[in-house]
Order: sequence, then structure tokens, then C-alpha cells
Amino acid sequence: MNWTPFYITFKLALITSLVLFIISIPLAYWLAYSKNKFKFIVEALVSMPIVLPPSVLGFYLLIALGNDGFIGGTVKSIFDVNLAFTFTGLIIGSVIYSLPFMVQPIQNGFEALPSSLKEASYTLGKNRWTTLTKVLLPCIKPALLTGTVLSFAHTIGEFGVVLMIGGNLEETRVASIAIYDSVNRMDYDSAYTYSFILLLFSFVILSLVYLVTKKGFNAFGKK
Amino acid sequence: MPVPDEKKFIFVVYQLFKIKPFVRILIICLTFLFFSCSEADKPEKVTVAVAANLQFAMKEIALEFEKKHHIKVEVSSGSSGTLTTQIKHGAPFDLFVSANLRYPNKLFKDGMASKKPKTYAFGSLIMWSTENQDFTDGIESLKSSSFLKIAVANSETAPYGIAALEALETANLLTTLDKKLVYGESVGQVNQYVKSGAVDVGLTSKSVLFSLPESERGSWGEIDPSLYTPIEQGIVMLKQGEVNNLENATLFYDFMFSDQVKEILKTYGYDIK
Repeated sequence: MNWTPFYITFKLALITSLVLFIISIPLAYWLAYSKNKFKFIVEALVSMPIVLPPSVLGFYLLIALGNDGFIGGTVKSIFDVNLAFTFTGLIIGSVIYSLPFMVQPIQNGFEALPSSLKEASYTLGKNRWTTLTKVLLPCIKPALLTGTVLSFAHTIGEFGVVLMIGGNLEETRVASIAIYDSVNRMDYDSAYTYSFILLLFSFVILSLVYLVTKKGFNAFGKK
Repeated sequence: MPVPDEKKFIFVVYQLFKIKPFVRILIICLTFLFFSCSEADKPEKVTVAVAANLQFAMKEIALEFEKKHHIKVEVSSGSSGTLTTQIKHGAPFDLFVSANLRYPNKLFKDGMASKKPKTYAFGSLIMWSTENQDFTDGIESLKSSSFLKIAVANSETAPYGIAALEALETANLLTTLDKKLVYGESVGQVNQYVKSGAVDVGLTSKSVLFSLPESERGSWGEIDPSLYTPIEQGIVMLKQGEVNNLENATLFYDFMFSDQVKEILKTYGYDIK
């Protein structure tokens, strides 16, 4: 049994959710509170990966990140590193692919908070940053956790995007690709093992989400 | 909501946030990742893109190569067409072991390789089924009513798919069997369709038989080689390998033409001329 695909998968999912965590909070905050009339466009863009076939996203990413692409080409000429078919490329792809799974729970979390919370904090002389970090974010902890776990899990389940921009290389062979590869090699033993581990993992992680969100809400004294 | 309740609410939440176990876990993970990312020492290796039909033989070839030169062989297999597209978009392969000469030639023309591709083997096309079927009539056997679904590789990306369609066409069977055809991305997928029983028969590379123990081979029949253009399988060294990994890439390239590899290829049903 080769465990490297799992190592790559978890590393990818971990880095992806970290990056998403950092960029999604300001984005979700803006989406929840902004009164800009073009907000819906950004909202639509963020949610695109949910409805877009992964192969479409993967194809565009391949064109953009490839050596002739405008992102890949620029990065290549400045830093002399490839983006397509590398782990870095996978991270970029996964961040875009899992973006809605992080942004939406957080945005919903913000929107569900009573505005009196924010107002109380402002009245008490706290600025927006303090209000965000000390009042709003702590209040939406279940949402933050849900977002993180969902984007983590979603990245682990990624296939089409990875296949398009990562290929089936040693460096980019995540678990889902390893399953595909071993089935094509007729190595059913590996395919069974890989699949079963992913199955188990998905179940455990979703059970955790439901357990934690329920507990989280209970902690807020909803009786 | 009465004020004390809300204050209590904020207080509870504030307490929760002070512990920040989540943030702590994040930091630990981050540190761990940054350390694990900095494995600077690169092992000696050679990265090879391998046509799906050759992956079984390649497993053995790679093993022998690793034994002999202590250089790791990283294999990435797929249909030759897909691999060609990947190479064009910058996939970091040192060598490309294709199922035909057309794709390596294309890469050579596009400047992705500086040396002309070279033929290392000729492949043969077979009809393969996991059931016990009668293939004595050659390709005509496919007309039998016991074959409801026939798998062939995609002729856009897989040389064995091109050969399969050509053979069917030359035998004047393409129009009759057209509705029964099921397309796989490469012979790898065709094999998988046959093995799983999703189709009754598949047109695939002969090498698949030798990857299985004799008891699992089912039945098979050769397709008359005069019905299709010989599947001339070529290898090419890519610019990527030439620039970054010339020594190892050359070793592997030469190894592919050694007697040892020729023997392996023969045991997997390839012809060497």
C-alpha cells in the first residue's frame, strides 16, 4: 500500500482550508453587510464552483495556469516555476473550487446574527475590527467550523479539477486520482482500500460537523 | 431580549473564543506543514509519461531500472493523447513513452523535444472477454449476438482506439456494430470495462493478458494485423528532461532499447523489429 496519495490529499486539503479561512472571512463579511448594488455579481461568482462542472473549471484553470497561460506564463517568466501539474497549481485550483463551501456558511452566520449585537458593540465604543474579532466571529464559531470542515472535505473529494490541472503525477496524485489510476491499472485491491478509507473519512467528518454544530448551538443556550 | 441575557450570551461566547483551541490547532498544523514542505533533498529520479497499454510492462521495466541504476522511476499513465496535451501545457515529464509515433512526432514538431522520436515496440490489438467466448472467426466473431456491448478506446486520444476503429472499418463491421460500441478514454479504461463485466468484449492491447494470472485471463482472440496500420510505439525525450535531468533521462532512454527491456516487452506480447 502506498500512502503518499493520502499524505498529498490531506496536505492539500489543510493548506486549502487555511487559505480559504483567511480570505473568506473578509469576503463573507463584505457580502453579508455591504449595501453595494452589484453585490449579487460577486455572490454569483463565489458560488459558481457549485454548479460549474469541475471539468469546465479545470479546463479554464489549465489554460490560465499552463506555461502559455496568462497567469502561468507570467509566474513562469518571473519566478521560473510551473503552476500547471504542480502542487502549487493544485492549491490554486482547490481554493477556487472550494471557495463557496467556506464563504457561504460564514456569510449565513453573519447574516443570522441580530444587528443589536453589532450595535451594542459600537455603542460601547468598540471599533469595527474589535467588533468583528471579539463579538461577531466568536458568535459564528459553528459557522466557521462548518465552513472549514466542509471546504476541507470538499477538497478531499475533488477529482475533475485535479485531473485537469494536476494530471496523474507523483506530486499531484491525490487519493481520488489514485483510485482512478489503480482502477485503470486493474489494481482493484488498492482501489478498494483507497475508496474505503475515503468513504470512512467522509462519514466521520460529516458526523463531526453535525455533532459540533448541534453542540455549538446548544452552548448558546437555545432552549 | 432582556439585556442581562444578551450580556451573558456575549460573555459565554467570549469565554469560548478565549480558549481558541481551533486557532491553536491551525497554528500547529501550519508549522507542521511548513516543515514538511522544506524537504530540500531531491532523490535521484526520472519522470516518465506512459501510454496506458504499456503500464503493465512498464511496472516491470521500472523495477529493473531501479534495481540496476538506483534511480526512482515515477510513472504517470494515461491515454497518449491526454499525456500529449499535458506535456504541451507544461507537465514535468522527462520522457514520453507513447502508444504511437504520431503524438511524439507532434511534440517534436512543436519544439517540445529536440531529438526525433524512436520506435521501441509494435503493439497488437486483441478482442478480450472475461467470459468464455468463441473468437475463432477473427474479427467477424464480433458479429455474434452474445456481444451486446463492445468497448473500444477513444480514437481521439488513444492509438489503440484508432487501430480498433480502423480494423472494424476495413472488415466492414463498423456500420453494423456502431450502436454496440462503448468508448473508454484509453485501453486502461477499456480493460476496466471488460474486467468489471460492464461490456461483453473489449478491443484492447495484448499486453493486458500478461498482467493477469492465467486463471483470470478469460478468452481472447487476435485481430488480423493486416486490418490495421501497425501500432508503432515511439519514445521521445522531452526538453524538460533534457534541460533538468539529462543524465537520468538518457539512462532510461537507453535502457528502453536494451536487450533486457526487449525481453520484457516480448513477454508482454509486443513485437520488436
